[in-house]
Amino acid sequence: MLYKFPGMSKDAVKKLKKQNACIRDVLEMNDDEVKSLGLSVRALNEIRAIPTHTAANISMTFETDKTSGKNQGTVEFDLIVSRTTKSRNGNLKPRRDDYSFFAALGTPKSGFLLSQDNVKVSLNGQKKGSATRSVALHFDWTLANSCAGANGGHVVLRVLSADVQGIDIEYFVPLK
Amino acid sequence: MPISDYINDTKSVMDQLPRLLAAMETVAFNECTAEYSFDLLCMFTVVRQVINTRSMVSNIRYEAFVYSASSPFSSFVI
Repeated sequence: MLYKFPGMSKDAVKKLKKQNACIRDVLEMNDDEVKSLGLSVRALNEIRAIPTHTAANISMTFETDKTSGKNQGTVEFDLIVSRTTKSRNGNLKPRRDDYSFFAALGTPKSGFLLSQDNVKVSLNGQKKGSATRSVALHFDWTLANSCAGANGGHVVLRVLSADVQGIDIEYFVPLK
Repeated sequence: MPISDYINDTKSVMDQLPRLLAAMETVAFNECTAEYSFDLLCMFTVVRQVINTRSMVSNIRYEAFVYSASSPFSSFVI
């Protein structure tokens, strides 16, 4: 994926591969670290035009449906999508403002799919260059608990970008 | 080496891949209690990323997890 960016030199790709760095790592680097890679301004602007996403305020709730007697869990989190507006020459024109993400919840053992949702976020008109979207994923608590693993167990929350490789994140959310 | 055949076959596979994935995705949604349906669905998204970015499959770093301690939970970058 890294070699796909215009202006990305082979040496820079080699250095990044040597460091086992992905696009998210480059986005989180400070100016000095980026300079040491020898990235061209064009390549850096292309990479910094990609928005990064993080899940914040992750909470786990549990309730029992009185009529059916089923145990239902809910994982709620804020999906924060932010775009770096800083560039070396100060000019950064993003190609697009709408981004879609795939949020999935599963079990660490046996890989059962508990819940999933497609989230679309628009950065259009966001002065700060970031947008927040609340996401709630409902799931079968009993199924999650049966394959949750040791020490109380946990579920796996993955938030994947629909378009860009190397910026996907995975969280282990404790069942409690 | 039959290069033209290889190219044509690759194109055919890439053309049919979204349909195949959509069918498998439907099965995975309906059979949530099937083992590894979670990984399968995540893999679909990764395949779509590959198709959208027109990059090579070998560049997927799905197995390469990088630990990040800044998150309140243990988090990994795929």
